[in-house]
Amino acid sequence: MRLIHSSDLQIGKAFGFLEPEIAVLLQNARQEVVARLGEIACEHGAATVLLAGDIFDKQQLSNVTIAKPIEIMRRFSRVTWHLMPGNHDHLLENGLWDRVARMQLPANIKLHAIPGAVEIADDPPAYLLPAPLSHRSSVGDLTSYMDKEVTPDGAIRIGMAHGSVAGFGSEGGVSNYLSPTRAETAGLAYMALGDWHRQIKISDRAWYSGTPEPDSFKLPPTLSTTLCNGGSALLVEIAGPQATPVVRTIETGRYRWHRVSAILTDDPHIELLDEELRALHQDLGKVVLHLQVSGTLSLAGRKLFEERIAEGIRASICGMRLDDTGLVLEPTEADMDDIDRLGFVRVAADRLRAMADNDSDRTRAQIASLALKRLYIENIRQARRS
Amino acid sequence: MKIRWVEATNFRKFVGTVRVDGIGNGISVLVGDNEMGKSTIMEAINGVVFEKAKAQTKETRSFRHFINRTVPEVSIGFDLDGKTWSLKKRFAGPAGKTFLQSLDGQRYEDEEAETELQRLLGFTVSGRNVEPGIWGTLWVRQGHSFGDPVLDERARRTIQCCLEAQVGAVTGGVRGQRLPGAVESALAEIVSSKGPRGRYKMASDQLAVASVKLDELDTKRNQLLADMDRLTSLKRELWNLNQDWSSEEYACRIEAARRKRASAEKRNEEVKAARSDATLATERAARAKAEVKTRVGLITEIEQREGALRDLQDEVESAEAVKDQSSLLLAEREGVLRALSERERQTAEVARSLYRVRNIVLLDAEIDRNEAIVTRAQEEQKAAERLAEQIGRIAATASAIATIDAAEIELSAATAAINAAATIVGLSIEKSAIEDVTVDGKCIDASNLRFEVVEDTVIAVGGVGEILIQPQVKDRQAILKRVDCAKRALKSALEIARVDSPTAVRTAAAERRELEHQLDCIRKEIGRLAPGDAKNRLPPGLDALKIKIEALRGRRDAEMSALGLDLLPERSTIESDIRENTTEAEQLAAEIKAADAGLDGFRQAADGARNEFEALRRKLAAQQQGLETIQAAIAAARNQASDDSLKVQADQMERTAAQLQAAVTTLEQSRGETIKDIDAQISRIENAARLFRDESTRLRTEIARTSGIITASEGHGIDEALDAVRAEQSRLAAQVQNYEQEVAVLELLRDTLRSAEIEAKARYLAPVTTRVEPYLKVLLPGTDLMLDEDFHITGLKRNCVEEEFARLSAGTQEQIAVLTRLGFAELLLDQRRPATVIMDDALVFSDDDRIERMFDVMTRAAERVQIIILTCRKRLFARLGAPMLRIEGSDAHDCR
Repeated sequence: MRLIHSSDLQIGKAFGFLEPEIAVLLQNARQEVVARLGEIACEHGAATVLLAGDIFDKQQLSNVTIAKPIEIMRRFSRVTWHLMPGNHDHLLENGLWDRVARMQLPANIKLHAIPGAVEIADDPPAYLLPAPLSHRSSVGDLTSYMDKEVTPDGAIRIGMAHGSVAGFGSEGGVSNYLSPTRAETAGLAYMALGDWHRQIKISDRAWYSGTPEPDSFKLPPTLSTTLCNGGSALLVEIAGPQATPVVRTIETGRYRWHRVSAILTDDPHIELLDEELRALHQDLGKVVLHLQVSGTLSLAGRKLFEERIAEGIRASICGMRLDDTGLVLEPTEADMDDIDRLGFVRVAADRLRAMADNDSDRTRAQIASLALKRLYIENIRQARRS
Repeated sequence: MKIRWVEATNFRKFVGTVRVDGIGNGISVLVGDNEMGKSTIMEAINGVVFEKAKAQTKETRSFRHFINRTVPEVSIGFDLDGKTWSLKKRFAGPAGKTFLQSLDGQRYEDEEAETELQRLLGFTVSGRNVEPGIWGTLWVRQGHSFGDPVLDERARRTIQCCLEAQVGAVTGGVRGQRLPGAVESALAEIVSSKGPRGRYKMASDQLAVASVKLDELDTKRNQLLADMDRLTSLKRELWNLNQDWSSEEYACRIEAARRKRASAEKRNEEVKAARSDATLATERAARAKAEVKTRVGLITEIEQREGALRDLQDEVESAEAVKDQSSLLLAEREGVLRALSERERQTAEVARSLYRVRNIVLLDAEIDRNEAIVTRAQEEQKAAERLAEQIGRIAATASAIATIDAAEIELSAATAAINAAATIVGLSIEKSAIEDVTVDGKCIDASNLRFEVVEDTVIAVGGVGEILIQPQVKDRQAILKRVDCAKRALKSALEIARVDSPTAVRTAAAERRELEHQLDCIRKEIGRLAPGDAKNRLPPGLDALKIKIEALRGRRDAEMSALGLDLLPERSTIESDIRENTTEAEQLAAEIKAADAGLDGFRQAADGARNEFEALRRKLAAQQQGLETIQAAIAAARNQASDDSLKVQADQMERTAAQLQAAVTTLEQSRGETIKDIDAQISRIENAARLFRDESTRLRTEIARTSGIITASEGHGIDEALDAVRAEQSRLAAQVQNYEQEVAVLELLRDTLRSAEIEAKARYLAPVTTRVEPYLKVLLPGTDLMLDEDFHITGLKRNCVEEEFARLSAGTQEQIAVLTRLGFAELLLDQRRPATVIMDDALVFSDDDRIERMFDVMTRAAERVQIIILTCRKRLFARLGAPMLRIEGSDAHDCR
């Protein structure tokens, strides 16, 4: 049998750290990735899609937010969607899943709110053993029941759980602990795991699918890349109850989230950074960037940085989060001469530079530095006017 | 630059050639009456310098003579940088000519001359626009000398150039000038004195709204979660309620309780009937027993009453004896008291007689005292009468003295008048012949040979003849008549006063005043002796006193007659008798008091004995009646039933009652649960059922309601909305923080720029102000000039108080403007630039004092600056002490 394994769609996430108009784009992308999952299921002949928890980001979402993915799933009538509560959308009496249940779910959507084997296919016979979260954080291993859960002989046993596997990095912490050997101890052909947004193989039979649409600027811990976690799903092919599943990564994400750190010490570095950023993706409109810059720049360099990076790059990509708190201004004599060589403006500029260099009052020094930058820019603006 | 001469031919009003020559290095004053052409000369200077000869502008066309329209020519000679130049322009449109040449042979014509002229004097001509630069400031046309000396852009640049050459470039240029304004504008866009504005305010307001919205959503979310918890709790509660309740069990329990109640009711009826019978029998037995007891009581009472009646009769008799004994004792004591009272009455009678006699004695003494007063008063009265008689004899009253004084004064006046008009005759006669000479027939006094005559007087000299002197006195008769009248009046007044001289009348008047004083003293003494007595209605005066004496005497005699007295005893005797009588009366009163007190005790004892007797007698009668009543009652009862049969009946009834009561006790002990207990059981079971139903209904209602609330709320997606608002709040908070930082940045930038600019400006303008300052000290001591960076005069600072330039008087404005021009000129000269000040009709608003000071200032400035003054006020400007110029030329006095 073939299935698509995904998790952590976290539909309804707000993205408050970005501008509202960009947040809306990213929110829409999370809704629409459901359709992408349906499409790849159809494309690869997978009749089953397993969503291993955190389909929704939180409990109290609007009816529209809840209904939209349900309606998209309804569209793919030949695909059966198996939904399981995670820690973000855990089971709660009179909560989210009660509302979902009240929505007259179509036959192709199965909600797994209680643990226990459920037949999901008959040819070959396959049983799903879900471990839904009834609390945001569970103390025990909710998959432990799978070891003793009985299914007919010869049936394919597929586990689905949401939580953290001990011994694999710090991502996700240790709440909702899951045994990494559960697939083996419970005789599972495949264990579909959710919670970690990065795609990780735990064993031949146990995988984290990662989120199908990136949603944070977390980088893989070991890889040297600027591309952040998420953006793909798993196509799983299971030949039989004892067969090792064949797992393939399928890209699903619309946006590429990058995290770039740069140290600027000279004006030409700005040009290089500009080039580097423009090379992140062929379609810059799909790039969401967290840019952290540090170092020192002259006033002219800072102006160039504003024009090329802060404004230019920001305009060319989908969204940018800029952290320039580490970027220090170091006005050069040429900068100061650009402001004025003589006259009271130059006197004022010299005074501001002295204040900016005075480390005894950092707040005032920072304000003075910004004032100097403002004077530099304002001076140029006035020059253009005249 | 120093202008030396100006020549104009056919220029405007001038016909032919006019010339102003001899312009010196310092001040030169061009004097001329109104309409003489001074301003035209000024225009000619402006024209020859700034207007091109070939120009066909309205200005150059206006140079032509306004009647004959001939071509005008203007020439000017000036020294500049050690060279002497002459400039001549013929304003003939395209055919116009310009010649500029120096004494050392430099010569320029037409456009070349125009260009060289601009270079030399530092002005520009761009097309038709002339920028006279500093000359426009220093050459002041008529009517433009007062007010702020406006500098055009070129003039400002010229001055700036001079200043920067001296103090360096400090202003920051055009950009620099704009910067503080741009910063202020940027700051004003986001903040005002009241706080944030514009985008900043909008962000702040939106942040506040977002915070409120967040709080509301948080509250809603908490409420929703609470509702969800509550719903869970309610459902669990309902489930538990249903688990604990069984409807069948309730039905069985309530039926059993009701059956039990019916049988308990039946038993209760039986007990009630038995208890009623037993109660009736017990009551009957009690009544019979009571009857027996009553009869025994009556018999005992009769026996007791009979004994008591006998004792009471003995007490009555004893009380009667006591009563009689006490009455006798009382009568005896009352007799003694009556005897004492009679003696007291007699003593009082004697006392009254004694007091009447003493009053008569006192009356008699008063009569004697009053008679003595009358006698003394009468003597005083006689003395007064004598004095009055003496006073009456003296006629020198105050009016008589006044009349005599007036007559004396009149006589003196009349005599003085006659003396003033008299002829003085002086004689000189030998002693031997003195007797031979007579005046009006009388011998003359040898010691007084000088006398006055007012009437015809004959001086006879024996043996010689007579000399008749007839004085010529005007109104002589009238004067003599006045003298005569005055004498007669004096004589008459003396006669009335019965004296022979004015001295005598004054003596008599003094004597009269002394007598009047004595009379007044006597009258006061009489008044003191008989002052009257308002209390006794006695008026003042002797007559009233006499009447009073007579009345007193009458009273005394009547009293003596009433008491049968012929003689009055001595006062001491009667006083002794009164004292003895008083002592006796006091002794009697003490005795009576003692007897009376003792009598009260006897009276009380007698009254007590009588009352005791009466009370016992009444008690005896009452007890006798009571005994008779009881005896009658018992007799009647015995007629109904004897004492023995009554007791037998009562015992029988008591036994019957005891049997019935025992039966009731037996029934009650076998009764079991009471109806009240059973009713309580039924009520409890029913209440439990009702409570179940109520609670069940309440829980279902609450569940429905809470479900409805949750369903209604959850559709809005509170978590989602919260995230959105949190994001919005976070974004707005960052925006507000950015604005706060921007404000801090702009404020720091503004303040730094401003302080640097103020310092720079002060340094920058110092060369101008320091040049004007000495002049200003002469004109307005203790005053500082305030300029802005465009060299506009903004005001004055006097005693640290700033005064706006526009608010100064027109005269002061003009004077300061002139000083500032002189300052500019000096600054230019210091930088080796041309500068000549020309003022047409200046200082018209200055008062005498100020104009003198201005002359001093201009004289001092003229040591370095050439100043040409065009004026019609010759006399005034003569005080300047400067060379006077005139417009010379064939038509200078007939230029119209």
